[in-house]
Amino acid sequence: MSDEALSRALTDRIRSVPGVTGVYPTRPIVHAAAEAVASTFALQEPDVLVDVHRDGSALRIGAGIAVDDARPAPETVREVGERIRDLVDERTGAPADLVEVTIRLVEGIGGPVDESAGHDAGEPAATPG
Amino acid sequence: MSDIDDVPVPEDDLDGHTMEELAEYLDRGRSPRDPAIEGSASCRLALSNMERLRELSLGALQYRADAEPDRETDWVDRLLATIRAEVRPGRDVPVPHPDPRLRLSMTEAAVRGLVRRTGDTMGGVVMGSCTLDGELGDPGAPVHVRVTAGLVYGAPAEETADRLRVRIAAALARHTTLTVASVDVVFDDVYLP
Amino acid sequence: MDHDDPLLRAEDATLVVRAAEADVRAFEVLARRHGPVMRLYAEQMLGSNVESDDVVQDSFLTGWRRLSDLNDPARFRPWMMQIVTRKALDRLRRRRHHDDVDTVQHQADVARQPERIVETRMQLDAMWTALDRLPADQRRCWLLRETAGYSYQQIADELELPVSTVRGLLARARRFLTVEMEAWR
Repeated sequence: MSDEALSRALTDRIRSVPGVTGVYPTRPIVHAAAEAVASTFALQEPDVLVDVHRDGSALRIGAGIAVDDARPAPETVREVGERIRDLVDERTGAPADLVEVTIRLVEGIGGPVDESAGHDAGEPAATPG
Repeated sequence: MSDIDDVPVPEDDLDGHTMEELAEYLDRGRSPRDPAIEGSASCRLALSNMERLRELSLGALQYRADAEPDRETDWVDRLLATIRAEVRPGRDVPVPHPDPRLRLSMTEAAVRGLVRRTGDTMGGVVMGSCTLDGELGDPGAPVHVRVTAGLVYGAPAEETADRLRVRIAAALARHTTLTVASVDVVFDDVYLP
Repeated sequence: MDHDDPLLRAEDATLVVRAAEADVRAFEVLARRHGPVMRLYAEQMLGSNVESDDVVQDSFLTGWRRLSDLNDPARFRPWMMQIVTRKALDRLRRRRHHDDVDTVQHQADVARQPERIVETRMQLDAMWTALDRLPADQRRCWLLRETAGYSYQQIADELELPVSTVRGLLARARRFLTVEMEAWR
């Protein structure tokens, strides 16, 4: 399975996890060249967003996600991490050495599943920046 | 200083080989196999002794290290403080997981966004700045949340601040594993509804 | 650190890969796991524990910064040993060139009481005692050869001694240790 196919499969799998509202193109901790590649991917290939990085014999997976307020973020991100790990283990036969998932946004706050008791969760009329 | 002198120490009879040669042969894992060395009983004896002493030497250090509880760990604390200072930009809040191969986190920006959004959707306040003081990367380290906000004209400041604090604390408890030591609210603006 | 922390059970290789991605906690586990033996090693090389703390701290800091140089994450320990060795040798060289050798040697000898009576039941304990009783210069050569894997020439270069002297020191050390450990055969 090619790295691109793996990234595509992982992006799909992550999107199907309850609580995930979006997948970000990741920012690999490498160089400007790699950053350019990542953003190129995002422009040309919106479904290939998970970073599959091979460093010698080490396989590292990286993903950035947006999550919904409806589910506690730690639960969502744990499930995402586990699904990635399991998919890599089963599809490539070689276990991932490191799976990194970062939550970059929590959205949907103030929606129907609101924590605050008995108060109007509506938005104020004027909301400057 | 009398130990450091050049009086040669008589080597044992090693069938024409020096200890240095044998030491290097051992380093190479005894390969490629040297028939002259392997064929000499005194060489093999010397090699076996050398190997044994080497293993014991390494083992002794480790054994001793395991036996003595580390007297002070000050050096580790200093080391970590230096390292953390170097990685400060863009602090991530870790999300624990039992599998060490999984490294899960939430960005500081996401946490601050969460706080702001929580305040903005309460009604009666408009959030301003949000600062998180404390070692976000260190689980269990106390974090102090400081926010500023605009208060809608006519609303009671203290009661609104309390409501906001509770709401922020609940949102952080729900979505992070941070140890929130305090939530400070300062109203620095008033707006008309 | 929390005793349930799964990182405590992680292999070196896993921790190294995480630390290379700026995971400070993973590096902390590595430092606490390997620190004690590195400190003892530095202490044995330098003959003092004041400097050994500095050397170990400095070495791990270098280890952190240069972690991406390490090709095989499983070889963290030998890699760190090399760093500690180099830094300890730097200290020794600075000492020599500042003519503090005699003072430091004396302090080291006082710290190790050869007459200390130790009931040794375990072979490793006996070996430790034997290493402790070696004169500092023999021990240094021994550690560089057997623990750090330096060649005779490298030892000579680092300690600024003729190779023949190194040969002599190693032969004496080896003979002493062999005799000491004879009872354990």
